[in-house]
Amino acid sequence: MSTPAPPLLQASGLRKRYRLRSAGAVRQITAVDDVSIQLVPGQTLAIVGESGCGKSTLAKLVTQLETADAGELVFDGRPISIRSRSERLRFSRDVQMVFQDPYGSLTPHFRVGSLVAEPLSVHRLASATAVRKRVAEILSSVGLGPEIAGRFPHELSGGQRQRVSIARAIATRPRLIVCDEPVSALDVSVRSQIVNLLLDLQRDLGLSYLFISHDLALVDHIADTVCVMYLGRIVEQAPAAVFFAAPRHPYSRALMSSSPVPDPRRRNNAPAVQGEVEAGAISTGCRFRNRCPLAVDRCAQSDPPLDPVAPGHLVACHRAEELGTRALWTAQLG
Amino acid sequence: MISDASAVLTASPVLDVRDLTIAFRHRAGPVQVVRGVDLSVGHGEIVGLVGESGSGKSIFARAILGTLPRQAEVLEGKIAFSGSDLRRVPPSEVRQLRGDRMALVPQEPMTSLNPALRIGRQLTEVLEVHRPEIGSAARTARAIEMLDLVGVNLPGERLAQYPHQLSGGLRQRVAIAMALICGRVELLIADEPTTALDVTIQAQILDLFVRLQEQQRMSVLLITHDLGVIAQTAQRVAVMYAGELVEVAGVNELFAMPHHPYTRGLLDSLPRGGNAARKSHLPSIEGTVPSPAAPRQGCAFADRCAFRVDICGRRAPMLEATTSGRSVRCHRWQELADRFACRDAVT
Ligand SMILES: Nc1ncnc2c1ncn2[C@@H]1O[C@H](COP(=O)(O)OP(=O)(O)OP(=O)(O)O)[C@@H](O)[C@H]1O
Ligand code: SF4
Ligand code: SF4
Ligand SMILES: [Mg+2]
Repeated sequence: MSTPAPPLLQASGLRKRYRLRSAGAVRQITAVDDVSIQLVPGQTLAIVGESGCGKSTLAKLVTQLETADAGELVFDGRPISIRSRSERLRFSRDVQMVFQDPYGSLTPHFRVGSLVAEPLSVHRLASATAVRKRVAEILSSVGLGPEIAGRFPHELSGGQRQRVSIARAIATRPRLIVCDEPVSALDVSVRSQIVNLLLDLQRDLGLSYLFISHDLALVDHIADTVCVMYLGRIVEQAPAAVFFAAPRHPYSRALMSSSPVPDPRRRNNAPAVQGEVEAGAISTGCRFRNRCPLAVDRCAQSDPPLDPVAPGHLVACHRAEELGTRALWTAQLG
Repeated sequence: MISDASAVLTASPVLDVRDLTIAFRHRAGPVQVVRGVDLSVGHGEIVGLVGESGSGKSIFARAILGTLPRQAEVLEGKIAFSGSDLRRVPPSEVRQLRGDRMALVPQEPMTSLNPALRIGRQLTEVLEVHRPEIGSAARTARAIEMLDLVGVNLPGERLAQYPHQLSGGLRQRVAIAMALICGRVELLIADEPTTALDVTIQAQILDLFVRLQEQQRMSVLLITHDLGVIAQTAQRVAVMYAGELVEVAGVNELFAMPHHPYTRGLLDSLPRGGNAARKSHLPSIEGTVPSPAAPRQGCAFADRCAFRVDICGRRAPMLEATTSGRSVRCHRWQELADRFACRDAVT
C-alpha cells in the first residue's frame, strides 16, 4: 500500500444528542455517538446501516447543517471551529449535498436555470453575463440539454430532477459531496444512469463522496471504504474490497445476508437476525447484543471499542479476533 | 379453532386475469394505465409482479380487490377468482370476499390499521365481520394465535397496544395477521410489503411469506419494484412496463435468460459488486418510462430499446407464448433469446 493522501476531511469523536418528547416523557437519543471518519480526496466513503442508525445525522454534522455536541471537524487541514467568516463561506462552497428526494430538495416555483444559477450568485462564481453560459455548461455535464433550464421541477422526471440536484451541487466546484441515498427514490431503470453520472463526475472533478446508502450491492460498486453504523456507532470500517470479501462484525454479516440478492439460485434459507433495532433498549455492553447470534456473557458487561483487526480494518466486537477465523461463523450461523 | 386453508386442490388457478384494461377518466379523455394484462396465480404459488413506479401494479391489484379509485374504470377483461368472474359479482359480495378469501398487505401498514384502535380490537373486529359464528373468547384466542404465527413476540400483551406503539416491522406483521385471521384466505396480495422496512426486517417478512406459502398453501401475488425481493421469494414472475406485461416466466428462467430487452436491461443494470467491476459504468437503459397519456404507436419500449427495428415503431407486439411455457411481448424475442442466452446472466 502506498502512503495515504492527507485527508480532505477528518471528523473525530463526533457526538449528537436529540431530545425526544414522547407520551409526556423526555428521552435523550444519542443519534451519533463518538464517530470518527476520514475522507480521502477523490475517494468514496460509504456509510451503511438501517433507519435510525444515525447515517443522516452524521451527514448533517459533516456538512455543518447541524452542530455537533462534541468532537472536531477538520477540513483541508484546518479545524472548522477556528475558521473565519470567509473561510466558512469557502467551506459551504467546498462541501455540497445531494438528497434522496429530488422532489423535496428543489424549490418548486423556480425554473431549473435559476436553481442552478443560485449557488453561482451566492458564491459570486460567475458574472451576470456569464451565468447563462455557465448554467448550460453545468447542465450539460450532468447530461441535460440547455432547454431544460426553462422548465420547472414538476415538469421533469425523477431522474432529471436528481440530475438537477447534482447540477446544483457541482455548480460551486466543490471538493466533497455528501450524498444521502441519492438513487433510492429513483426507478430501477434510471438508477444506473445517475450512478454512472456520479462516477464520471468523481473521476473528472476529483470529488470525494460521503455516500449514505442502505443498498449494499451499490455500495460494493462505488465505495473505496465502508463504514457500518448501528445505533449511532460505527461497528465496522474497512476498505470496500476487504469488507465485502470478509465482513467481520456480526451485524455486518447480518446486513449482508439480509440483502436480497437478485439471483434465485442464491436464496437465503432463513433470516440472518431476529428482532429489530431498538433505540435505548440497551444501556450497557454491546448494543447489538439483543439480536446478535454470537453474544456471550462478556457482551453484556462492556461496550466493545472500535479496534483494528488489520491495517485500515476496524471492528467493534468482543469476539472480533475469533471471528477472523471462519470456523466460528460456519459453526454457529451455517 | 378454525381449520386452516380451505384450499381445495384444483387444477384451475386461484386467480385468473384475462385481458384486463383499466383507464383513468381525464378531461382529455380516458388514459389507459393497465393494458390487456393476462396473469394467473396458482394454488400455493408466489407470483412476483415487478415494474417501475407508475407502471400500473397497484391499480392492477386494486382492480382485483375491487377497490379501484373512483376515477378509474375497468374497460375490458375478466377477473376470475376461484372460478367466479368478479366483474359480474355484485360489489357487496366482492366486499365480503375481501378480508375473507382474499386480502391485501399494503406497503404502509398504517393504511390498513386503525390508529385509534387497540391491536386486539382490530383483529377481533375482522372476525366479527367475516366469521360471526366464532364466540368472543375464541376470537381473542385466534388473534393471539395469529400474532404468534406471524412472529409477533409477546402476542398476548400486544392486544392492548395501539399501532403507533409498534415498530414498522411489527406493524407490518400485525397487518399480515389481520389479512390472514379469517383462516380462509386463498389469495394474499402484497403491494410493496417490505419497501418501507429495513433489510434485516425485510428478510424476516419475506421469510414469513415463504413459510405461509409452504405451510398453508397460500397463494401470494407479490408486487415490488425490487428484483432482489422477487429472486428471493417468487416462483413465477411477471414484468410490467407502462401498463403492459412484457414478460412472464419462472423465476429461474427469467433471471438466467431474460427474453425481453427491458427485462434484460433491468437485470444488467443491477450492480453486482466485486473488485473487477468496482467504479466501472453500470449498463443502463437510456431515457425514461413513457407517460401513460402519451399516444402510443408500436412497442411501448421502442424509444428506449437498443434492439428496435422498423416494425417496432409501427406495430405493437403481442404477448406471445414461447415454446418453453413462458410469454414475451417483443417482435424479436426469438432471435434475441438466443443472443441473450450467451450472456453470463448471474455470476
Ligand atoms: N387516483 C389517480 N388518479 C389519476 N391517475 C392515477 C391515480 N392513481 C394512479 N394513477 C396513475 O395510474 C398509473 C398506474 O399507477 P399505479 O399506482 O398502479 O403504479 P404502480 O406500478 O403501483 O407504481 P409504484 O411503483 O409507484 O407504486 C400511473 O400513471 C398513475 O399516475
Ligand atoms: S460484542 Fe458480542 S454481542 Fe456485540 S457483536 Fe460482538 S459478539 Fe455480538
Ligand atoms: S418489439 Fe422492438 S422495440 Fe419492442 S422490445 Fe422488441 S425489439 Fe425492442
Ligand atoms: Mg404501487
